Amino acid sequence: MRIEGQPELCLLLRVERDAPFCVHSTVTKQQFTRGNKTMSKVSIFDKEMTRRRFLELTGKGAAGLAASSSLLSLFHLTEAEAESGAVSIIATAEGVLVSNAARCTGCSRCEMNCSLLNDGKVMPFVSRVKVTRNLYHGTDGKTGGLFGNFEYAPDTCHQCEDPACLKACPMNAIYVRESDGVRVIDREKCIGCGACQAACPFHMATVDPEEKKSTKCVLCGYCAQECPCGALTVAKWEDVAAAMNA
Amino acid sequence: MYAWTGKLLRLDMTNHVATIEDNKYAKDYLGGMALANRVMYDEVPAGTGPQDDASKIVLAAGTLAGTGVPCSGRTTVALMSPFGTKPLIADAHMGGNMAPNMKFAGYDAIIVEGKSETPVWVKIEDDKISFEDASDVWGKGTKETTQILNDKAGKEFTVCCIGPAGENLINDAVIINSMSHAAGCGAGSVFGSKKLKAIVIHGTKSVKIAQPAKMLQLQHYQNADLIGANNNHVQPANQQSWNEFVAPTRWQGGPGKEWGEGIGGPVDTGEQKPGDINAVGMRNNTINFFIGNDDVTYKHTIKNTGCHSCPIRCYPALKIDALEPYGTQYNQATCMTMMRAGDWWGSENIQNFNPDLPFGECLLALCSHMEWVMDDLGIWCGYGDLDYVFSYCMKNDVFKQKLSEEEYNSIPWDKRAAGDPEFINDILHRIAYAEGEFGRVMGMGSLHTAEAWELPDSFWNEATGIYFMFKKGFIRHHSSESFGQVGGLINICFNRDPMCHTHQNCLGNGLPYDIRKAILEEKFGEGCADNSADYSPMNPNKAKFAKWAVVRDNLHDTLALCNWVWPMIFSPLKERGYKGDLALEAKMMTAATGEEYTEESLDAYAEKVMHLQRAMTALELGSNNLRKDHDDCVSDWVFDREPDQAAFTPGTTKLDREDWQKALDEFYEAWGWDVATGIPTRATLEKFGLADVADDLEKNGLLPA
Repeated sequence: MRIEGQPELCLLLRVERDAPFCVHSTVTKQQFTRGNKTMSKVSIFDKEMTRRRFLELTGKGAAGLAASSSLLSLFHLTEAEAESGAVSIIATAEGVLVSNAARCTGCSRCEMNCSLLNDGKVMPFVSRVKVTRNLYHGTDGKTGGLFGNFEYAPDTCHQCEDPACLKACPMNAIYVRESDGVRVIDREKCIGCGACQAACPFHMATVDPEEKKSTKCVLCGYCAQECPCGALTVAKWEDVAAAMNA
Repeated sequence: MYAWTGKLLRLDMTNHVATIEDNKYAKDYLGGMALANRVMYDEVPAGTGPQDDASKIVLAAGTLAGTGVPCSGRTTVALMSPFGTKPLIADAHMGGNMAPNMKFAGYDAIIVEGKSETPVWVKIEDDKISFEDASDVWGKGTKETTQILNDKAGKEFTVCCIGPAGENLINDAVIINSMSHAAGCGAGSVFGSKKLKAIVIHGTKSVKIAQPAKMLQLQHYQNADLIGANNNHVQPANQQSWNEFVAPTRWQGGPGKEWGEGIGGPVDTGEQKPGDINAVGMRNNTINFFIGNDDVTYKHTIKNTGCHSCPIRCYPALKIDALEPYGTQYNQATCMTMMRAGDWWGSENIQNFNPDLPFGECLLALCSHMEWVMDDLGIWCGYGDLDYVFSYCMKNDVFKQKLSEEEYNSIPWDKRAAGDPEFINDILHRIAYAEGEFGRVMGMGSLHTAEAWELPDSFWNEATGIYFMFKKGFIRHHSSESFGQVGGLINICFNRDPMCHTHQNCLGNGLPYDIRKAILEEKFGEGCADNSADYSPMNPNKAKFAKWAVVRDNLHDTLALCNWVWPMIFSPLKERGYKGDLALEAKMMTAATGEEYTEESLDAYAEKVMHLQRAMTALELGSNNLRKDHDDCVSDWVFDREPDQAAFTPGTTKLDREDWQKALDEFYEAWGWDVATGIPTRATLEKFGLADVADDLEKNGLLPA
């Protein structure tokens, strides 16, 4: 298990299939209804506590989610998927991103939807979810992908608690939005220098050469909403809390 | 500029020079098929052979490629077809990821001309184009080639390449990208004749959209309310909580239907309620539809895959452990490509693959293995043309007659009898390398094979449902089995298997006949759509339906959209009366480009390219009577099958010869073609802005009076 930085910073739970701690359960025929997610409000909500509880639950891997059918439902996962190695869960400051290689079928609609919604044009190069780079040969460029074992999934922004992109920016153009904690780019300040792009350890921040402005994920959730196979899920901490309290 | 890039890329293979030109065709031809055909008309003289120095090949993205419109991943490839008696204009089509990435790199189309002296691959990264030495990949299969070229260029590049079949100038050769998305009709050998091993392309640019919010709304609407599964199949093959009808459709998914080899464990495809966009891609399993003995395909499905931007995902990705010793354990394929084992090994030998496995397991394994090897060698099946030739020759001892004893005995027939996958490795290798008399003749396409080996007329006439057109060298897709005269008529329009699914999507899509009939009759009038094997004599509304089927197919090859999902004739929603939205293409084009398009105005572009291609065919054949020389050559089985039954009685799909003449008359009238000759009149050509083409026909004495 690879922990990026501090545990509450950014917990990447993408595990290899044969890792000793990866539990493959017997398949349960758990049915769940899939539908468009609605954001629900809870009256008492402590984001930090929610995150801590969630990280405890998922400390040993996505398999921890299997303990809660409402959490599984929130992330559109079956118990089997949660306990496999195919699911990447990124606990970010604002919420949880799930990218499920078992369900990603490589249509690239996430890339196009992201840029069409956020940039008003179709431009996979600046998409904040990136799947084309994994599509043909997988994440390692060798064994996965269409030409390998068909393992590929979109890479997603980690919404780091202590973002390298923010720290690298010479213009202080990347900041934490007060209303929801999302790390966003102030386009007025951004000069498109590329420092964020170079700094991001996950190669996600991308300067749009047409606008000379950087782009990054603002957790709008549209990629997940429109994914034809439910391979992407975005859940805000409020909804995680509601599911854990259920 | 919205939607279009406004640029064409010209690759001069002789001098290794790349030129970026303004796309002067965008306004009048849009893109895809229409643009590519106009380029061929303008730049390649009639009579040019596909492998001649003057030959070109045009890879044309559509206006909607890279806009996010569902099913906009296809590339139309215009070229001269080698499969007829003379070289004729034809279109090949390729799914996968090529067209959108051409747009992201900044190109509406790529024109390839000239011939390189040495093997090269062309690297395209936005405006940076280079001709690279391909000597270390020349000779390699398409899969290894892709790995090597991705290593060199970058793992996000789309690799469109040929295999040994194209290199060795076999007619039955493809260009292929993304594992198994192939353009056939000899495209591979055109590349091979130019010593072009691959085009490797990546783009960082945008496709601009005039009305982004509208575009997002339309795409959501299509995916929520209109789209079904592959082939416009709009009701599932199993009872879910919501569907009124259950029928054997490609919508195979449902609760309990699992991707058995799912990554990390089986993935239940679950319910796919219309409106649940996150489940659209879980609906389809095309191979389980064909090879579904005890859901054997589901057992071996890893996930679905498919073309860029398409939510349907019609290619199951398969993991078949029994094939691991052969290196073909992982594969993806769809439909026709997976139907072969019976033709090649013989149905009686399939079980011998492994007597301890159920028949379905053996069938799936052999089919998948063969598909993998074909794709790797870059061989084109002609949608079953090659397969039928082989099975016919087996059944009629043609190989015994035509091959030397030595060559015949060198073929591992024992492996065929044993259901051994390696039988096909041997056979396909001979074809890809034109080895021996077998290899020389087998990959030529049915017409040339039949000529070379002097096959009797019964080759064309005997097998019902294979060759609708007599001695033309292409197979039906589809023909009179699909709405009678309507399905037959589409075959006369093109110079290859029609690849037209508009009308075929109206068959077997899960809705009862009376619902489909009502929706079609609302558009074309009473009597346009017969029930299966319950045909009636020809009438003008059938001509309307047939013409529209072709026009929409051409439109889809122009925009380019997938004609196996579009048009949205039907919907899975009972609340809509199962009706789709036939104006959706126009709405998408308007939102993308900012120009106002209607259903009628958009269809006009598609009709235009049919007239153009028709005129080109007349010029290339040197024919002033396409009715006689091109169209009215229908195989006898079409009229003579079920000899004890009369045409237009229930239980037979046979047509009637006299009625067929009436069908041609009414079809030509619908198009505005001269009824005697089937050639577009000057009035029709001028109506569609093709006065110069009318002049050309006239100059050559081919224009109808």
